[in-house]
Amino acid sequence: MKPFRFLFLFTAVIALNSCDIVDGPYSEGANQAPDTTVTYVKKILIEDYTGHTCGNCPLAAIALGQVHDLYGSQIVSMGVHAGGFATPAGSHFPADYRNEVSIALDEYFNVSAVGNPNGILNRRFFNNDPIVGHTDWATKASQLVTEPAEAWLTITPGLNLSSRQLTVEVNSKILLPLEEGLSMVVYLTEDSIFGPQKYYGSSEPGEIVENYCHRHVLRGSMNGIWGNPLSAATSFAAGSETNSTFSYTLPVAWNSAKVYVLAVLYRTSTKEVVQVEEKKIY
Amino acid sequence: MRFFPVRLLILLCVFSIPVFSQQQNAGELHGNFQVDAQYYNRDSLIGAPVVPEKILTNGFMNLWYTRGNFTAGVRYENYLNVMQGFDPRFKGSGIPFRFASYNNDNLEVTAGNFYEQFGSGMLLRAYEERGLGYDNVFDGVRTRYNPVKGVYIKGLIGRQRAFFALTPGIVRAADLEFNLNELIPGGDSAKTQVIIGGSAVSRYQADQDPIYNLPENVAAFGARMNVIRGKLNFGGEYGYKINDPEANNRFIYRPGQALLVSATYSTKGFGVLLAVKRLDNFDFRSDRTATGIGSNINFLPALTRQHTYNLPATIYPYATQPNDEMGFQAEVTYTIKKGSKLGGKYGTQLTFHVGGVNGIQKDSVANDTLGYSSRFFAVSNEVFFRDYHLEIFHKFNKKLKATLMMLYFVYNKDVVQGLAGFGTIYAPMAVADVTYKFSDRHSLRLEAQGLITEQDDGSWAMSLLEYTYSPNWFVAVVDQFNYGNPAEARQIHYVTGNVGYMRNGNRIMMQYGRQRAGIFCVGGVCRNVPASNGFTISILSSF
Repeated sequence: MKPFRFLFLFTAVIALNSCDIVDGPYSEGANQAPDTTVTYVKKILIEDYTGHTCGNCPLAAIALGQVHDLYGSQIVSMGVHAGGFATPAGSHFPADYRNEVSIALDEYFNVSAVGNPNGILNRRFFNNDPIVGHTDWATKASQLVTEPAEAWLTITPGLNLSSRQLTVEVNSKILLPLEEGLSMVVYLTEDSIFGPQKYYGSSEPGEIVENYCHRHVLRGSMNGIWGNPLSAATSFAAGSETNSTFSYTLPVAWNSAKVYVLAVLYRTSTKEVVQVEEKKIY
Repeated sequence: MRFFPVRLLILLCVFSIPVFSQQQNAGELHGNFQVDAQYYNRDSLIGAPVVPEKILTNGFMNLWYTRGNFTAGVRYENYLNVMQGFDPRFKGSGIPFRFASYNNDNLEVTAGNFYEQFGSGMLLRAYEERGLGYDNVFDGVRTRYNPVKGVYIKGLIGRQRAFFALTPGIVRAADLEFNLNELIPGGDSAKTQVIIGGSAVSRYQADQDPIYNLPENVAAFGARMNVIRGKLNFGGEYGYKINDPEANNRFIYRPGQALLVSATYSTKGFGVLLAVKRLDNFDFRSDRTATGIGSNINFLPALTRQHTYNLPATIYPYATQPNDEMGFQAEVTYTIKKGSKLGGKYGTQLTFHVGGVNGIQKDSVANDTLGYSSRFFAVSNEVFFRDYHLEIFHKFNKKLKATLMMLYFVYNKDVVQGLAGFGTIYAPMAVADVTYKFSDRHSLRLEAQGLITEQDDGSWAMSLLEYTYSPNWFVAVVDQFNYGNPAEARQIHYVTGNVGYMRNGNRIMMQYGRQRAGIFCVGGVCRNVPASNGFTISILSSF
């Protein structure tokens, strides 16, 4: 058993390192976001609509990694597995990372109907269209990160390991006056799920990467697909704070060590994200 | 979604000017209208997706007004919601097309939306194909000038349509064409006709990408020539595009090149067509991040025959690979003389066609950002597509005529459809199309087609029976049967019934039944259509 355990640990270490973002050939210097523990910055939610049989999708994951490298913790991302390329397919792709939330988001924004991979940044409409191709994520993110932070979210998670009961408290602090209703939805993502992924152009047999690292997979929501209004208010003064509490029982299949809470504060009328925050549950 | 009330008001005022006045040159109003509505039933057997709205519709109306040198037009489009298989970003309604144009002393000026083509379209072609949901119309200004006989100059500047909005890139283009026979005195009577032309197209798109240093102005240049002498027609066009890193070529900085050469010889009863095409990194869009159908500045034709019979046209249709293609086409048409033994009373027409596409030879290159290198005319061994066919058409007598076609396709489904794991399909096919005219008004047409393959979904058989009651009615029943599907449960009959009525520019067509999932392609541009089960009605009117 001992050598086997060592081999397992060794493989795990290698595998975890394979989740590191691959550096690309950049020809321009990259901006580094300011240290976010001191200054309030606008964080960007990037939703990567993907699927395990989508052969072009690994390129989008690489692009997402490049954006993470550029803007550090100012980027919060989640992989939304939905649509035709995310359905289980034969013996090679038995996993099903879809759930009620990912399917509902995909249908609402019509992403897989347009094609995969595709993404959405802060649920903002660019030219009447929220769908952004992965080659445009860096450009769109570069525009969004310079916008002022309108709110700041602080997440305090608490997990009971034995009962798998997760309790999360989110403090929403409004930084700039906002004259509209706000809502909050709290998503749960699981990072580094290993599984097969189709990758066109890969040298792997059948162009399938067997031990692909799926990053930040959207697993569900603590308060429904669209969450709840932050409060009954339709205008918020700068400095006002609201505390909200959520609870959820983590399914046994999830690796609790890799689960993140994503709190998304958004404009109720347009669904555009005002601020987002991410925190590992323990 | 986008509604321009002020502009609509102005246009309505234009149209409310009395057009039926007693004066001469009173102006004419023309247009066309089409609405397609489909009701979708659930059908899990064929994999038809669930449609929550139950009914989906696409509709549009075009109106053109011409008076003397002045023309104006408008088109209203409506998608509530858009039908299956079309891009769901066609949502709501709006007026994506409106223009005004005036022709003054050989200078035609257009403001608003316009379609345009330079040469073969290799550098620039804005067109619409309703059935595909393809419309890359320009929104800007265009001038067409014919200063002296034989010289044609075009200039345009604009952005292209993206659903109900515009693409980010700005396109500036100019084209110059000389018809030497019109230009040179005495050229009219020359035996040889020569037309030469050149184009320059440039796209500006700001570089706000923090990772790549992208060229903001990307230019493409083209030169073309057409020589006609007697029965021979020879034409060629060459295009060059400077570095254009975009989503479709994975952001490489390699310049692009394209070449299209064709020669035809035609005489009574005999014709030959030969064509060669090379495409190397020639996808050219007005949005470098766009993929799929849309935002194309140019049009690269598929050098393959556009089939009209169901199985050859819809099961394995070829789609142009703008970045990587070397194609050839050869076609011979021959009419066996009437009166001869094989010719019969009316003659027999034979068409023999050989066509194919391979990839271009790509060699690795030291500098990764250039992508690859490829010597001109270097072809790779990777077969994308082969189309060999023989078509025979024969009219037996006044009542009976028939077409027989035998085909053999080689189809690299992975490359053509952008998938993996399907490999190459080898499919011999046969088509028989017989029309029998009972009388002046009644005729019956029978079609039988077969496609035999061991790959993919297996073999298909298709049959069609169509009854026409001239000049207004037709009724048809079609069955496509996937008898060779390796999964027995998916050996399904896709049966549809069609009825149509037409009169005086109006047409009403109804269809009921099952439609298989498929790819619908026109000229090398394709879209995916999911399977459906239901009732469709189409109403068309041109006036």
